[in-house]
Amino acid sequence: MQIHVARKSTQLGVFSAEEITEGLATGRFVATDLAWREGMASWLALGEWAEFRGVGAPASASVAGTDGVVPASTVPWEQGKSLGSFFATIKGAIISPRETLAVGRYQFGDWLVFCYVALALSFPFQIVGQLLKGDKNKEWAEMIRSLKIPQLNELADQLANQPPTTLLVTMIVLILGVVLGPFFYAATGVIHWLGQKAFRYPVSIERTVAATLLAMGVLVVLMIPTQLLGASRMAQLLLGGVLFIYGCVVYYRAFGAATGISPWMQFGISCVVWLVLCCCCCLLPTVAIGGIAGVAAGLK
Amino acid sequence: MIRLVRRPAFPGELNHELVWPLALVGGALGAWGWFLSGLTLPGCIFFNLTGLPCLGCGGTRCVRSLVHLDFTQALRFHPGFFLVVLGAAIWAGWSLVTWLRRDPLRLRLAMDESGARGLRWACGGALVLHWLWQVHVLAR
Repeated sequence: MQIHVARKSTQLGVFSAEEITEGLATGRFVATDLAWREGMASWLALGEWAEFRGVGAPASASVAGTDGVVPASTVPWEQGKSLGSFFATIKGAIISPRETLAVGRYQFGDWLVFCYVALALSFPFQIVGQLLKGDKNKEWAEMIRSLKIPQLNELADQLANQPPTTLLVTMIVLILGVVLGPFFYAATGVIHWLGQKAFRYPVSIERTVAATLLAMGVLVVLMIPTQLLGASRMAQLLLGGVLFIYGCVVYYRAFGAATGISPWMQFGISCVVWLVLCCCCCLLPTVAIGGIAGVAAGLK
Repeated sequence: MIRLVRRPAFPGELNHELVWPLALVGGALGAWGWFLSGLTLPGCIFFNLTGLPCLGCGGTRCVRSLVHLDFTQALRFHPGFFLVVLGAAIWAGWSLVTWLRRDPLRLRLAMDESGARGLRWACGGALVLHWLWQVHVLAR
């Protein structure tokens, strides 16, 4: 009979008893994972099932490592740093994130390096993309005008009158992007962690930031093909549009697996966090400026 | 293998019987208020640039048709969104029945590895077919 397995708020799937026995031995499942099969009134930790007792890790080795016990990692990148483990992690994050990423240490340094490796792989493609793209200020200006939004016309005029960007400036921007990129991603991870706190998910800030770096690293590698389409804006938009949805799915599956929270919940938290941020960044200053202007006009 | 099972909820599981009906009601109220206010959304950038619809194109027209209870037009403008709303409405009805019966068992989709893989391929294929439909109906 098939057994349903869940970890924290995520359902891991349906497995046979043999698969679970093997999974407990290899670290794919832990004894604290909840399981249910037809006929049972409620879910029970795998460690409490008579048929799985004594197999695999003890129940105290929690997934999040909140009890001070460092669990054995199933993430290839944490088992050894090499290009092989890098690509094995990327492959696992795309194909089977729950099995590959659920049990890990998630230390910031490990995943900072991971993100740098992803950006280093992407860097040559970014250079080629920029060379193919050339200076597109005028083209972008035309594109902005074609949107027919009157408020953007001034921006389009400014862009059209800009002198061409030199290769040196382009290179400096690219290098800065690679050097500072992971820290920017980490900052978004911190913001997301605040959202998780608001939703009462007790995932540590380090794990959340590490998971962000991991998921962003995977996305950077996935998006490499779009770098080569700099010459054709249309091709870049089409491929970018197709990869965007796929990228979102991959990102949230990997991020959810690494944090032990369901991908849908993580997506929801992101939506709320960015909506609140947008309101704070756009609406509040607008209201504040409007208020000051109103007061100034009243004083006159 | 993909099948529907009725099972108890596990600790920490998202309450799908509460969240999705609330999202449906909230979305419906939001859409109704939005159209009542007379506000409009900016045009699709992707469509303006390429002349081809993006996967979301037609969504606003679908919602507008739904608000006016014109289901045929809603299905034509964005079949995906229409089916999601229809599914959410059916789910809300089922959730209400579950709640009224005080049923501890929850209806859930259960799948093994091959089922999940098959479902991913089916979703990918459905997206492609959906986009082709949008191109047929909405392209310049």
